Amino acid sequence: MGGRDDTLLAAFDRLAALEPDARERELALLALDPDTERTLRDLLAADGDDDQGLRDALEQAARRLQDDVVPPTAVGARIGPWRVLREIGSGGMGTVFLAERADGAFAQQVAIKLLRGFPTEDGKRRLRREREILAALDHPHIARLLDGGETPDGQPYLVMEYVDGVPLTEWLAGAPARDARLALFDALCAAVAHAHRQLVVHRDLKPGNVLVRADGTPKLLDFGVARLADLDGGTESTRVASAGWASPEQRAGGAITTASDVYSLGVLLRVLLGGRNDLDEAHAMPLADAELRGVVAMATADAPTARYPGVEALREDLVRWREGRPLKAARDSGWYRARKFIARHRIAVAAALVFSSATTLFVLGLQRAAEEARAGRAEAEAERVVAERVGDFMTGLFEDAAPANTGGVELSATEVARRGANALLSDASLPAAVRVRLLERLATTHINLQDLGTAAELLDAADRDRNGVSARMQSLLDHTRARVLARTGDLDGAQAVHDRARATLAASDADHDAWARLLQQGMWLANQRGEFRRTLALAQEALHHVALSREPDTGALTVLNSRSIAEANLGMDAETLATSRKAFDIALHAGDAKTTTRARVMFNLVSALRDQGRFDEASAALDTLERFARPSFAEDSREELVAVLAERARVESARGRGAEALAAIEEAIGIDSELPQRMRDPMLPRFRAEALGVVGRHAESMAVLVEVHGGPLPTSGPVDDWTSHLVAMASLAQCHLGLRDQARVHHAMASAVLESPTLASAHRQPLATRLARIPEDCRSRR
Amino acid sequence: MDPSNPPPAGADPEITRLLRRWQAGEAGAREQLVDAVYEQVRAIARQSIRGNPHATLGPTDLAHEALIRLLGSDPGWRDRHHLFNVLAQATRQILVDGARRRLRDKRGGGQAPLSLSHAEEVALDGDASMVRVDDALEALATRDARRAQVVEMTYFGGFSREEIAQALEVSVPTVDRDLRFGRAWLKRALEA
Repeated sequence: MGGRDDTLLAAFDRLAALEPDARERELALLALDPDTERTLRDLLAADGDDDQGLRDALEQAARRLQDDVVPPTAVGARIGPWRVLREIGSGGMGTVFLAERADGAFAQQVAIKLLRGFPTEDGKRRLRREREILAALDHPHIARLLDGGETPDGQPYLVMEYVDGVPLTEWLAGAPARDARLALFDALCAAVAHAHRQLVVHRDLKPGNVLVRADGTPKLLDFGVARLADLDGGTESTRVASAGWASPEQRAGGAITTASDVYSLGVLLRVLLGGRNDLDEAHAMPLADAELRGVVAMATADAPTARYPGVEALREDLVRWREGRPLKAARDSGWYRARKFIARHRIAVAAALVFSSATTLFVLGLQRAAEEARAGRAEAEAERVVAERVGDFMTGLFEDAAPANTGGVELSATEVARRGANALLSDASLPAAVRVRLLERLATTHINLQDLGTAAELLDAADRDRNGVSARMQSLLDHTRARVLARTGDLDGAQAVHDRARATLAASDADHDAWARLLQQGMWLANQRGEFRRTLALAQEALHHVALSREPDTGALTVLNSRSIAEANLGMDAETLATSRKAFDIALHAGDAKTTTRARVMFNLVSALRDQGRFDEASAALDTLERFARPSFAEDSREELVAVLAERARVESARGRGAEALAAIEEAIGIDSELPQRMRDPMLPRFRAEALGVVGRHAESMAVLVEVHGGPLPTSGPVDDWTSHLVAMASLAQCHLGLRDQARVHHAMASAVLESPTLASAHRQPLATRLARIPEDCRSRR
Repeated sequence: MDPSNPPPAGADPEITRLLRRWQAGEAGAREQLVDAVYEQVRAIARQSIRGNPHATLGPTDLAHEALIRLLGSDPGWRDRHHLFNVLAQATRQILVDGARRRLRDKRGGGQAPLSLSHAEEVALDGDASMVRVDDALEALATRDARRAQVVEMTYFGGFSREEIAQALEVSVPTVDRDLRFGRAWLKRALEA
């Protein structure tokens, strides 16, 4: 890089930041050579944000690259067995052609939808999804899917029933009577309700997607942005839907549910009643009376929970209106109350009621699952009764749990879950997919509540409907079953069911989330079974799926955690450290990682460093974590700070800095004592005993140890990993207290454990270090 | 990886492997990576030629499409940043190769040009612009390689300032400063 160049760049950067007048003065001061000055003046003249000319030049270059060959134009072209007659329209992502059978085998006109423009992967995926969605729908007011495929060029297409009709707006221009309008709306609602029962949300309901035939019957078109309601997670609105028709949550990029379609239908109704599709005109509907305005208002309420609970409810209210019966628009319902209650009291419930997080998850999960049930089966009265009953149950649950009503009695999480389970087990009228999903959710809740028997029972019930659900769901059932079996200690059984889950997934078109979940379990199981090589073998595959899943960071942390455990058990010190370090780095930057996950990852790295005597590095890692945890007084940050301080105490004890260790652990105990019971760390006294030993307060250390152990320390019989540490610490303390005989007994016991093959290798190193110090300390006391 | 579970539709295993080798500092891995990406981008352009007459992918669409095919569509995938620069470079290379080829073909390799239609004249002007942009970028790279990279990633990769800052491990204001100069530099070259 020559000096001239540096001058030019530096001068530009400086002058460009100045006002024009100042530029001239500065330029004169620089006394550049004439060439450089001319270049600089040109550049300053060209300076500015406007780069349209540049972008145009590049766009053209790209276009010409593709224009080099002129492709055949559509009219007369063959697409599969069809011959294109003419273009009949184009939507957001596709162009629609009228076509007929090329072989004249039978006279049929069809509409063929091709991706508009270049078939990008995104576009192809959307068209594939539209095809899957249309295949699931069969309704007289929805344009039918007839065929689909790919051209030899790889251009995917859909073949649909050709609807000979006019767009809704054109039909409205003919000023049809109000009855005809409402009849048309009723038919549209029936079509959308049908889609919802198939768990399909249209997401783009607007006049442009409705064709009306000469007899006044509508056909709903364009499921191009429709989504299968995702039973595992919220449906995010990744595409901007048509302005003016989309619900507030859709416009805001929030979760889209069947309630969003209810909103768009409400806007459609407003337009059908002579109104307009903008909010300011909400009440100007020449064809509507007060009641119909009420229906529109309820359907288009800003809050999804304030709308009709489903399309059928909206439809029924219009039936009531027609029959002159009182409307439901403002009527309260169990569901409505439950949701309102949760919305109002979610925080209070979590904070004030000592609800375990399992209960909260259960209730929110159940709410969603039951909402899905309602969306899916709102049509049949009997099934709505089930949904309503769950809703009433939840209302009752929350009202019972409200501070004013508890009377000091905590609602047991187990009791809540048990009642939910009974309600579901005794009811077989839900559709298989919804019922299985609910049962699986409840089973998971029972696992979290340690009620494995009920969990197994719920899974048995779900398995009876196994053939009616997707491969993904089947695999999830097996996944959950494997969890139950593993918790009951049947690792072989768990492995067998897990393997079946894997085979099921492999035979299906599973997504990364499903694979990530399965492989995480595979690694966990392998570790439980001591098959550490297998854990390592699965790790790479797991990381791959995890990276492409919806929770890449949390998943990676779980996988790396399992891997580091396996590596530690295989004595792969360097690898353990590298894996832990990697996890640590992710944890520091992870947006989606839970505090507990981060704390666990931290524990792995710091303990690996500590076990390898790399105290400075361990201490530096703790400094970083402390900076994260210290400033916040949120409970989970406090919990994390306790973990950091406890680890610091262990590191300082291990390198013989007792005073620092003691200060850290005593601060930890102070903070811990103010946390809720379920967050408290039972290990803290043990670390305090250790620190007390290091500073030479052996009598206190011994007293804490005995207290921690809940009685005198054993002098014979089997000891486990945990007791062996206490025994070793006791031995150390006894040396110092002059209790040599007891120290010798305990030392012998702890040594025996060290030789035992059952000692987990993660415990081996610290125990060995401690035991190695005892003879030395005892000698020094002589 | 066991055969019952092939890698996902997303990531191209060859690309993933080359990325790893490049990150590990292996000599020549980057060049192989650029070659592989070049092929991918060109395949997309070729495919679009056979497709719809209205197919008009801009340079940044080409790069985006290639990115999805190479790495899948997950925005969280960590390797993406490493590919940004390679991708922008390959896209630029393809565009300028096409422009140079057309100029050569039409002008008959230095012979007096045949009589051209107006549309063809316009097209050749466009190709000449592309070549001028390429030359100017080349000249900029000899002065300040990073500024050239920032410009390339902006106009040929379509990446955001934040993405570029992350990929090149510099601050966003630095990217802004580099881009301001680079934009003026290219505009001046186009007007020349």
